[in-house]
Amino acid sequence: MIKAQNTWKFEEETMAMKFEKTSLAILTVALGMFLSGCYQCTDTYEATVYSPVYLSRAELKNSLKADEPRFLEEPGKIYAKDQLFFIVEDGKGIHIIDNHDPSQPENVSFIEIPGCTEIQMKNNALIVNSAVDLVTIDITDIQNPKELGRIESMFPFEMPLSSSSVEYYETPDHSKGLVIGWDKQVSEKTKNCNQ
Amino acid sequence: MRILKTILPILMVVFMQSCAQDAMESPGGGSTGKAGSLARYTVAGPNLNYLYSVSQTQLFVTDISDLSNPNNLSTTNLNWGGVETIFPFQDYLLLGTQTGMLVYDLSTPEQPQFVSEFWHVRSCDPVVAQDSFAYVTLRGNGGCGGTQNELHVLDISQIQYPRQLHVYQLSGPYGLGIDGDELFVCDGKAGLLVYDASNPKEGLTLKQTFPGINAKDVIPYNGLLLMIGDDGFYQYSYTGDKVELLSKLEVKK
Repeated sequence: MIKAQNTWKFEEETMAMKFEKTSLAILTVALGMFLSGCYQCTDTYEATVYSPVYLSRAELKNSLKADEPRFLEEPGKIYAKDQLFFIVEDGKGIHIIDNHDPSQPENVSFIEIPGCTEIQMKNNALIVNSAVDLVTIDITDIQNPKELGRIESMFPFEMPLSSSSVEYYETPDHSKGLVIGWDKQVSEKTKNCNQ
Repeated sequence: MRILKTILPILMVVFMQSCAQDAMESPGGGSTGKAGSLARYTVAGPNLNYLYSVSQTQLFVTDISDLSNPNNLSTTNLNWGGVETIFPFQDYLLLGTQTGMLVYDLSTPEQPQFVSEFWHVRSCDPVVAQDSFAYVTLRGNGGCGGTQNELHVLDISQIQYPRQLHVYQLSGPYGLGIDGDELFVCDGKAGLLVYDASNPKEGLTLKQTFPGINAKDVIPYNGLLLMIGDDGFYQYSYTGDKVELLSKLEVKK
């Protein structure tokens, strides 16, 4: 009789031990997985996403406009000729600075040029892009710029903005028109911790 | 004697006039100014009749002899991606791309010819050149890919074989400019750096720094340094021993 009881006790202990062993095993595996990185660790961060702003071909044709001087907001490419200095307002047009006195530069005029990101000059003419077009503009009278010539769709794609070290561009849908600029939006993204 | 007295001052004025402007003047009467190092367009060639422009993958040649009637002469597929900048140098074009500097020959202005390439790790990189040296900044962060942030000095005395001479570590550089013995580098958030470039073979010496500006591009123009940063347009004088701030036109806050 006593012998039977002893046997039963022994079995009970073994099962408890087995349970402990299994639990330990599970814990070890879990720890191993955690340490090896199978555990999903994610970082959230803010990324700037750029989405295209469109203008139709018809609207682009007559879009050059002389305007009052305005504040610099997103300065892009720069250009100097004689006593004038030019700053591209990324995607919007060109600031004209009268720099005859460099200690007091005067922001005197703005030329609205949708989709402008580049600038050059020959003689009294600006050579710029407007979306995918190349445009020449006479600025003999800087308050009255005149479009001289245009090569439509010269560039296959829109030039990137100067602030082109961005992480995300939305691919343009050219059925919607020509890209003249990009709208900035900050959104949250996630990535794995080790990236 | 009297003739000399009359001619000499006239000659001096003419001389000074042509030296005074850093703008390129062509005997045919065309004149152009100076772009920043991040430019994708340049005006060059005989009588400045040619506009060279780069997209991400192509080099365009446009006839601008008649500015009211520009027309495209040729399109060259560069077989490289990520072309970003263009710099006219003697009879060549130096193109900055995400994987290196490309050199094109303009002896036949309508048909630029490939000469050589200097490869580097993936980064954004404008290039400028003077005499027999080219200066390239590499920026690795953001949309450029790569991780290097550096300034490279190249020997281009034999332009078919550009050779790297020196590499300097920077923070996150953008545009740069060279005039005489001074090299100006926009190191992004680290500000404007001024180097002594009197002996590029030996190396560059950092002379001055202007921190606290997010510097993006510069144009050295006759002793006037024109710089654009994220927060404004800065002008400095570099005619003296030290570079000095003259003015600032702020970005709207």
